[in-house]
Order: sequence, then structure tokens, then C-alpha cells
Amino acid sequence: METEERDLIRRCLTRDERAYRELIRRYQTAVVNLAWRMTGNVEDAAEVSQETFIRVLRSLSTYDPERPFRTWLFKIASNLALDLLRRRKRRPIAIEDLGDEEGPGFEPVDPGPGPDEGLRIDRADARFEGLVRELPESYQAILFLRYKQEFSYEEIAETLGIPLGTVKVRLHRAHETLRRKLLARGTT
Amino acid sequence: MRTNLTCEACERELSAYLHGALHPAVAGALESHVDACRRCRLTLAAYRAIAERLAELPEISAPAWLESRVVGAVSVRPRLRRIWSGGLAAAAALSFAGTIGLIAWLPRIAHDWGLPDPTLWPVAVLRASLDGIIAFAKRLALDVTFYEPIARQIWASIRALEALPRAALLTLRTPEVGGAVAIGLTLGVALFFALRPSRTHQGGIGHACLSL
Repeated sequence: METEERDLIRRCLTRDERAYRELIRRYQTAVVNLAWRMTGNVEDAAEVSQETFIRVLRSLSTYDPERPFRTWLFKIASNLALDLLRRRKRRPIAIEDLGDEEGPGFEPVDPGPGPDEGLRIDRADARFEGLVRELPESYQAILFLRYKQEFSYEEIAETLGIPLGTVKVRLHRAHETLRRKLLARGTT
Repeated sequence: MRTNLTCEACERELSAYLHGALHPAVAGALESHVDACRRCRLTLAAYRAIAERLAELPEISAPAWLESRVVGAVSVRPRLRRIWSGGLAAAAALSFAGTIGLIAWLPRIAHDWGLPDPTLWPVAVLRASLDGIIAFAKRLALDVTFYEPIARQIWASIRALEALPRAALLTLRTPEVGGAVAIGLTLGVALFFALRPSRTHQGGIGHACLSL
């Protein structure tokens, strides 16, 4: 863990409100997006994120500083998202439901590092996003952790509490499913 | 030339290969197979394209209220707990000190105000209560003689019980026993609150009692 982050956590342990805010700002987008991928709904993602940060800050004294903080944080977030899904027995949303997803208070952020990219979700992107959202939540969570957070297979396994082999299999299945669907639609 | 890796086995490893998660020997075998197999080469190219698009998936931003709500939730509880703990500590310390002081000074206060010995107060209260009950029964014109045996039995029980508070008060009035009981009680209460699981011991009731 980097020194800056270690120092931030130490300040949070002293109940420094500014440190709380800094920690939340640093991880809120990642947590919200993981929750969004897992729940398929922005309101649920916000609820999960709020509960995640409250739980993290209240139980920070139990965190082992020898382990990566973000793995611990995302593990709490994914457990809360799964709890919420279990409570509501929600199924992944269909592509047709996309577009009505974004409620008040949520805006798309810059998806990539390209200088002129900005936010550009054209029809092809929207279709691809729709295909991704048709995947089971557990697959979407893995894809998010791998591609947006650049987690290693080991980190994904620890975060989601699944065996390493399962991570590998699900990643393969996710790629294969997307490839087949893209082929069926005549795009790659 | 194809290696002995089958296309199915190769496909299963393609995403792990893309992520650099394969053992070098397996990765080498896979590369050899892909070089020789057009189908697997196309699949790998497709996986690469998918990986690029996955890395560019749009993200949503966190709601603006998230930060303030979380900070509000985690900051209010400890503050309220500190205030509550401090108030409780002060109240407990005051009431404890008041009780000890009352026990120590009660005989003198009673003497100064011309009241009977405090050790006799419980007996006096019980007697007064019984007298009151009998007077109330008489006012209701009830047949007191009928109730007299019962009244006598109650009176005998009270006489037996009155020895208990009297003995306790007399014991407490001796400086050694009274002091020992006060110190023991203080330490017991202080230890209980000092040792109970709490993130912040400062400002707890244990500290207030120990400071007494």
C-alpha cells in the first residue's frame, strides 16, 4: 500500500472528517460503478455505495494494513450488493431497459484517457454496453474489476470471495459470450 | 504446424493469455497453436477487440450527496455518544457522591433537625403505615376485630424484618465498614466502565468514578 494511502487511513482512524471526505472522493466512482455493474440500477448502486463507505469508516479499525485497501473496500461493496440482490431477488436488467437507467444526480464521466475523447456513447457503444449488461452480475463485476480497476486474477478472487479458477472460467465465458453475440449481430 | 493443443483448450486459455495470466510454457504452446490455426487466431483477435471495448465502457459518477451523507452518518454517532457518555458520567458521579455523603452525614443532620435516629426511620415508617391502614379500616366502619389476627401477624412479620435495615444501617455507620464499602463500590463501578469494550475510554464513567 502506498504511503499516502496509509497516512490517509491513519487519519481516518483518528476520526478526521477531512480524511473521511478525501477517502470517499478517492474511491466513490469505483465503488458506485462496481455496485452499478452488480445491481444494474443506479439507485441501488448509490444505496450500496453509501452503506459501503459507512461500514468501511466504522470498521476501519479492523482493517489489516498489510492487505490492499481497495480489495477490502470492494469486497465490502460486493457483499453489500449481493445482499441487496438477495433481498430483492432482482434479475439482471435487459437491454431494452437501458437508457432509463440514469436518475437524478448521476452523470456519465469520462470513460477513457484520450484527450479528445470526452464522453461519447454512440449507438455501437450503447449496443455493446447492452450486451455487457445482459451478462450475469457476477460476470459484470469481474469484467469491471479486471478492465476498469485493472485487478489481477488473485485480487478479483479475493474481492469476490471466489476461487481463482472460477475467475478464469468466468472471464473466458464472458469473452466468449460477447464474441458470439457480436457475431450474431454482425459486428465485432 | 499445429501443436498438440486442441482448439477448445486453446480457446479456454485465450482470455488468460490476453491478461498475461498464463504460465510462460502454456503461453508459448498457445502462441504456436494460434500461429498455425486460423480459427483460433480470429478468436484471439476478436477477444482483443472485446477487451479494448470493455476497457472503454462508460462509467457513472457518484451522486453529489454521497460524501456529505456518509460523513454525516459516521460523524454524528461518536459525537452523540461522547456527549451522552460525559453526561452519564457526571450524573453517576454526582449521585454516587451524594449517596455516600448522605449515609455519612445522615445521623448528624437528623440530630441537628431534632429528628429520631435514622436507624429507627424504617421502623417508624412501617409503624406509621400500619397505623394508617388500621385507621383507614376503622373509618370505613369495618369490623376491626375480624382483621385483628391478620394485623397481628403482619405486625410480627414487620418486627422480624425491621431488624434487617437497622442492622445494615448500624454496620454502615461504623467508619471502617462504611469506608470499605464506599471504596469497594467506587472501584467496582469504575472497573466495570473502564474495562467495558469502548473505542474511547476518555470521558467514560470509569474515569469519572476513579477521579472521585
